[in-house]
Amino acid sequence: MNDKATDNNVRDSDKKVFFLSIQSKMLIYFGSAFIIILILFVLSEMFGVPFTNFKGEYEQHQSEVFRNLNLVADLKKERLKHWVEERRGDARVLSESTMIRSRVASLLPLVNEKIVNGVTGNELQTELQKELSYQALTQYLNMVKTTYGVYDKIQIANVLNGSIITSTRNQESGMDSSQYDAFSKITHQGYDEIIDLDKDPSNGVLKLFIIRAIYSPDDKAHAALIMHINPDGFIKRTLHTGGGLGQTGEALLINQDVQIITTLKYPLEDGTTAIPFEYQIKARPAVFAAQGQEGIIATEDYRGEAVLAAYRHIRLTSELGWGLVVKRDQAEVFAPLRESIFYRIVVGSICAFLMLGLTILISRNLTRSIRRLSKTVQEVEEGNLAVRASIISSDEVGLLASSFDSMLNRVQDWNTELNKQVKARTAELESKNIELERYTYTVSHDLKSPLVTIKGFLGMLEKDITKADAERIKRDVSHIHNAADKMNQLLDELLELSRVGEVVGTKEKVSLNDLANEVLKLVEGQIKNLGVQVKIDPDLPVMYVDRHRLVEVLQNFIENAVKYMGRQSESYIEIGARQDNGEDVYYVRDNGIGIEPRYHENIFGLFNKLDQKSDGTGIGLAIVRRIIEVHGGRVWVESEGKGKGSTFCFTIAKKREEPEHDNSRD
Amino acid sequence: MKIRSVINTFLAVCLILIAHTAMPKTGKAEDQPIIKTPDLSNHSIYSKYKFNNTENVINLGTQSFFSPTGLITEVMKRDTVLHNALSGSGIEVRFFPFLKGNDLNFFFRKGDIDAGIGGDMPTITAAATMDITVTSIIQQGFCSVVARRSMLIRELRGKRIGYALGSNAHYALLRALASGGLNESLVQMIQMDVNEMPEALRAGEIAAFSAWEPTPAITLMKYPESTVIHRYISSGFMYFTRTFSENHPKLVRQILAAEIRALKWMRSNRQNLLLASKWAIQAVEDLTNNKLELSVEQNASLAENDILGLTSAPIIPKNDLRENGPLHKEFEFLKTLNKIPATSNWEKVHNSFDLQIIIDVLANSKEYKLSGFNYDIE
Repeated sequence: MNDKATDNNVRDSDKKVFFLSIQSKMLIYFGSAFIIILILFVLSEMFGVPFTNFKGEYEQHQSEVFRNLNLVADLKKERLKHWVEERRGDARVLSESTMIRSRVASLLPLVNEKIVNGVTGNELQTELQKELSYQALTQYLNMVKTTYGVYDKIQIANVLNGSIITSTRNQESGMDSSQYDAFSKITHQGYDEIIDLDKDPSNGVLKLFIIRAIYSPDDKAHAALIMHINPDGFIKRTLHTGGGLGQTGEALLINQDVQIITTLKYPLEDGTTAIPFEYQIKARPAVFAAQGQEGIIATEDYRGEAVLAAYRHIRLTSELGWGLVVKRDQAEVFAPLRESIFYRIVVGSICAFLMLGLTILISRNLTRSIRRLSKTVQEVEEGNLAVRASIISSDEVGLLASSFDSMLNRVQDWNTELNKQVKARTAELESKNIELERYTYTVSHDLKSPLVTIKGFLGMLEKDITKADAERIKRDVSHIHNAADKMNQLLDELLELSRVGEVVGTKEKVSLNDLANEVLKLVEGQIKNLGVQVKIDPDLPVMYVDRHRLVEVLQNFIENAVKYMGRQSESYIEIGARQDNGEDVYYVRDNGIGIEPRYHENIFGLFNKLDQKSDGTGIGLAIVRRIIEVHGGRVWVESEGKGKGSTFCFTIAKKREEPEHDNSRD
Repeated sequence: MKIRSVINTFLAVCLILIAHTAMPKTGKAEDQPIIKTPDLSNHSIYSKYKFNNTENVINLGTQSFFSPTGLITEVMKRDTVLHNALSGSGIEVRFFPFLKGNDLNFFFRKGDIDAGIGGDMPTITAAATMDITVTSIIQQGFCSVVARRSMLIRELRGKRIGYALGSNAHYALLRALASGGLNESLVQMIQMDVNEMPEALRAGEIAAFSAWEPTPAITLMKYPESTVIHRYISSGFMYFTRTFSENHPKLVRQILAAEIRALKWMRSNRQNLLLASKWAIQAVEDLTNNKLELSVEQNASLAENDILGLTSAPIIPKNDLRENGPLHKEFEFLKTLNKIPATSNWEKVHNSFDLQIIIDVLANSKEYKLSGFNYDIE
């Protein structure tokens, strides 16, 4: 009941536990571990290791790009600043030079006078050209313009009324330049320099103006030097990014109102082209730069494209600042990284597959023995004890399989032996059963016989009592007594027989000679009465037996020999031993009446008597056989037939430590 | 089992670290207590100053460690023209260097200082909380956010950033964070002295800091791997107590003339700039008793950048004073920090800026001898 319950539990647990082979587990564990390690390796290589100084390729590349953008932005800012500074320096040198200050000081009253007199335009120009100061001044300005090559034109104007005194461009003397509000700053607000980037009011062309006060000898700002610079050439050249910023690199300049100063590289999102000083950029880097911030940012540009942008603020005066943005598309910046990531993924995937394949091969190889052993165990479980793992492997599994096979060999041997024993026991039980049946039958039959006698004589006793026949009554009672005694004897001997198997005394080393002599003393009277010669082999061995029982055996044989000696002229009994096929055989031989071969087996049966008239119950030889069997031996009779004498032989199982031939005597 | 425990522990530690890194730390402006200027009367440096608060002495507060104003004030200090102009009226001008604008404002508030030089933030603070007259711009330079490595602003998320509360650099940092889509609550704001910032950055105590020159320049020079990741332009102004500017308009103009002369003198010749740089470095070392880790040439170059941004006319740009202009935004920012009362009025601040005085000086260059350079070079 309990075993059944255990089996059910095992099966239930088998159902609940998801089976996963060792090979699969190895595949999962090693495969997962490798993939995780591979991913971590690639990630750390790409993005660095947190909390350490190890920077990944991404960060290094990004830093490189930032460095590059910052460098380009700083260089361009410095170039623009210095270029403007150079122009400011030019203006300062010119405005403070004695040559210009003295010429202006001498010309200004003359010009003012002529203007007051209504002389303007070409007439004024013609009048002034006659003046040496004017000629020298104009020539000087032209020389400066030609030498530097960056100035569109250079003018000198009267700051009080805005009229131009001289210009590197002809026919401008006397023209009104009061549209420049810079003049009022110079005359009334103390400014000595104005810088502005704007469209030229006269022709709408983008110009950088540097206006510088020219002081009179009494240190009053009475004129202004106006330097017109066409910034297109220099600014465009400076903003040109070339190949240093890749295909998508762009540098753009904006004013404080975040309006572009130069044209953009790309059209706007709607496909139109942005117009300088009209289009206001909303992109964050441009706004930040115009507000006075500098930095680098990942954001979207005016096209809505993701870019990395470095932005700078170029402060020219306390009131004038420009914004500079140097940017590059992120798609282009990170293209090499994406390519690198792609190849890493490809190589990583190949490595992962190779590793998985290798793991499969290794796991198959490592688990082959285990799988084979497992299969063997399953077959054994199904009852096949002949199967063997037969694994030749120089590892623990090999040892386990070898031990398992050895264990199986032993189990199989035990099984074979057990089967043999079961067969023998079964045969023995069957024999015992037959014997028991015969015994039961015999016992019931032989016990019934005295009872029938008793019953018969009891009937006769009744009749004889009725007749009061004293003689017959006495005879009847005597018969009844005899029958009862007979029955009593039978029951005693049956009890004795039954005890032979159960009650075995302590075994000891006993000399057969001693036993034989002891028995001879017990039957001495009978032997002497019949004149039987008894011969005892002097070299009888020592046996390991229950002495008392062996006495019974020998006594039985000798008494039977005496009883069935018949009429012999020279009766004799021989007690000896011989070797049959290496086995000690003991015997009691006589030259009595002999036994026909057909009775050789029967005589050892219960109640079997060859001579029914003889005394005895027919249990004696049955007891002998039982005693011999209890001693692990056999008993049989050898006789050639009637009148040929008999030899009762028996063997006794040797005690394990008993020497094969021990001739010693106690 | 053991291995599983180790793995679980490792994962738990990782989660804690990630949570720790991602978790915003201190620094929310609204969490800050209302800031009160500490009493600096017993300050180790300032307690030695002997202010003479008589009519005959003008006490001018300067900031030596504020490039390039340090150069300008050092030149002004040696301006014989100024001293002569004032001595004619029996007036003497004395220069008192301060470590930062807020310190200067403390003595300004006490009445020990008649005029001072400060950045945007101290100037607005003074204008909002006292009666002052801002007369001229003295510099336009950049405050920089310096990081340990090249990075985007957005990569500062969750990181520790050093800053000086309520300074120009603080404001610049906020602008920088905003440009990267961040704010104070998304980073760890660590208040510290600007002098400590370079070493804190090197030691990895902070990932970045925001400061004004010359701290960023010193850091870049000492630790070349560090880099400027953001800059924001800021200004410096000269201001006077309202009482002084109203009672002594001529003296104010003489001092402004000295500023203009100093600018012109340094711009006129690079040797002058180098000399001014040397004086400024010496002034910083005298003030702090520490050697400034910046060469004369480097300091001059820094100043050159910022001074070249000015014309010889240090006129305050009108644009900066417009509604929602840079100064107005900074004013609102100071209110959020409780550096100035929430009830402060922009109108008052705006009216503190007098744009005309400097124009008067410039327009009378002869009277104020704007081109008459005479410096006590010894």
